[in-house]
Amino acid sequence: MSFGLKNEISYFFKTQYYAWKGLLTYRANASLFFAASMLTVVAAFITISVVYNVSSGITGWSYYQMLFLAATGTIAFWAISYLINPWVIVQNMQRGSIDPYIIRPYGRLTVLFANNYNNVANISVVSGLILLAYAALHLQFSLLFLIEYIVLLAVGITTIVLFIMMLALGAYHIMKNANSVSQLMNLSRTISTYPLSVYGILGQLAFTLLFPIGLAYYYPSKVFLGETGTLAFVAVLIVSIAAAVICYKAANLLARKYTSGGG
Amino acid sequence: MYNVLKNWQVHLAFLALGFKENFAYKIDFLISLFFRFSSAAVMIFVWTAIYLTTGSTEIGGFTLLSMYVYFFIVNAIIAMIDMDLDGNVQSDIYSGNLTNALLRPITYFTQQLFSSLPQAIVSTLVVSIPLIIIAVLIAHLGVAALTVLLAFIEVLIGFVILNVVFFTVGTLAVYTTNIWGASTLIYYIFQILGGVYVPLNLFPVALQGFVMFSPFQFIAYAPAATLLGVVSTGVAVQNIAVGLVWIAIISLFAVYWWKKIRRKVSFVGG
Repeated sequence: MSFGLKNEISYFFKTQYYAWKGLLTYRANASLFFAASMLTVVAAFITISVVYNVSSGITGWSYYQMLFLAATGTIAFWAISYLINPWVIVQNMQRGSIDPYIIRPYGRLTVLFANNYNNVANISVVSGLILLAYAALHLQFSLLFLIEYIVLLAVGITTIVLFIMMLALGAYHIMKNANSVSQLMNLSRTISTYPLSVYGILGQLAFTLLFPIGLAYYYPSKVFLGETGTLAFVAVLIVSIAAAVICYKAANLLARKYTSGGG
Repeated sequence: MYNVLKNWQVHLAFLALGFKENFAYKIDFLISLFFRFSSAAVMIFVWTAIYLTTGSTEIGGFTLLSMYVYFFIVNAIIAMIDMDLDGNVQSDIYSGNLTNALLRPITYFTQQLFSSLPQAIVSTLVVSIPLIIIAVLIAHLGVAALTVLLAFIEVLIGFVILNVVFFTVGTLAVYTTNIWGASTLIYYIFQILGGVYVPLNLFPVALQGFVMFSPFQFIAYAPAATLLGVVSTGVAVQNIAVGLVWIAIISLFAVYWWKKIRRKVSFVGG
């Protein structure tokens, strides 16, 4: 039984508030978390800088365009990681720790999202934004492209979050574990540093339709850089929304079929 | 003094238990290994695109083929030596299992090592060996026995350094309760300065001097460079000497730190 969208959102944000409060209680811990999270962007920056220092880079992508793409990939990946942690979700299900929350008058997906999170992923998003701003300062863009970029990024992230949730719940039902889904997310971190064009046509299709990580970083970046027209923007938006709806329906169905593993 | 060889049956029991835990969810475990395997494939695609754009047959002393082999070998080594010791130690401290572990007639580090070894063994069998076979086949890699021996010693050095460091990081859970931050920080430093993302000899010259004498190179770059012939036998021997010095330094610190931590252990659970 659901309590209405407003209450569901309120419940989600209240759990986040207490999660952050808990994290910041241990200051030394939090400081280390933040420092570690910044390093994810440093790794991408160093890799791209070294590559462009010793070679011509990748066709069609200048140094700052690559940095922009990597920054978008970082923001997308860590925003997704903040909202969903498949390993924690499935572990909670295995142990029955999610059961006391399931009986509350909120949607099951809301409960699952509210009780699995990775607070410190937010810091990586911030460091990604810093890199994004640095790269964007060296690029020419228009306000329209920026708005289209933000829209596609937001929708793309939503799509991937729902996709991962669907996979995690599916993995629980089939295998009662989701280590493979966590490893897939780790792989997507590497994938989202580079343009989809390096993977060939088949790779591009796979990362757009099968494992649609491209919707969250590659296509938004292309739009921002003005390399696609309005038609392409609309097409990607429609695909993202359609994928999000399908993943939501599937995840919802799987969440309703949840049976506790313990507790 | 604790005798590892004398108590081999005890260690074997931990090893067997570790295997059972790893294979509790067999299909999930094997699928996750496949995704680790795929990381090498991603770098293959990326560097192919880079070489095509550059139009050069060689970048930093690496041909495209040797760059493929480099990333296959690097990913093979990482799969072999990374055992998640820090997470296991933190889990024991957090749950209170450390108390029981300390009561056993076997050192805690040895318990953790043998419990975590199955993960490395399975990763080696399922990920590393196929990657190395692919590397050997595609590059027609014919290396001298001495080169293989030197590379193997470097892998062992990397194994010891990485796991002693992460065991020490795991014990930080006594102070911070959750070591994810410290663990991720150290892990990224090892990856960046270990040549996992880019071969170290492509780094700016000023930085190369630092990383080549650091312990980080042993987790990936040093063994891969030795096998590929990027470094000479003399340099490989020099690297091994540096590695042994680092093992001594890190181990001494780890022993000192463990003695200090044992007096301060407190538990969240248990």
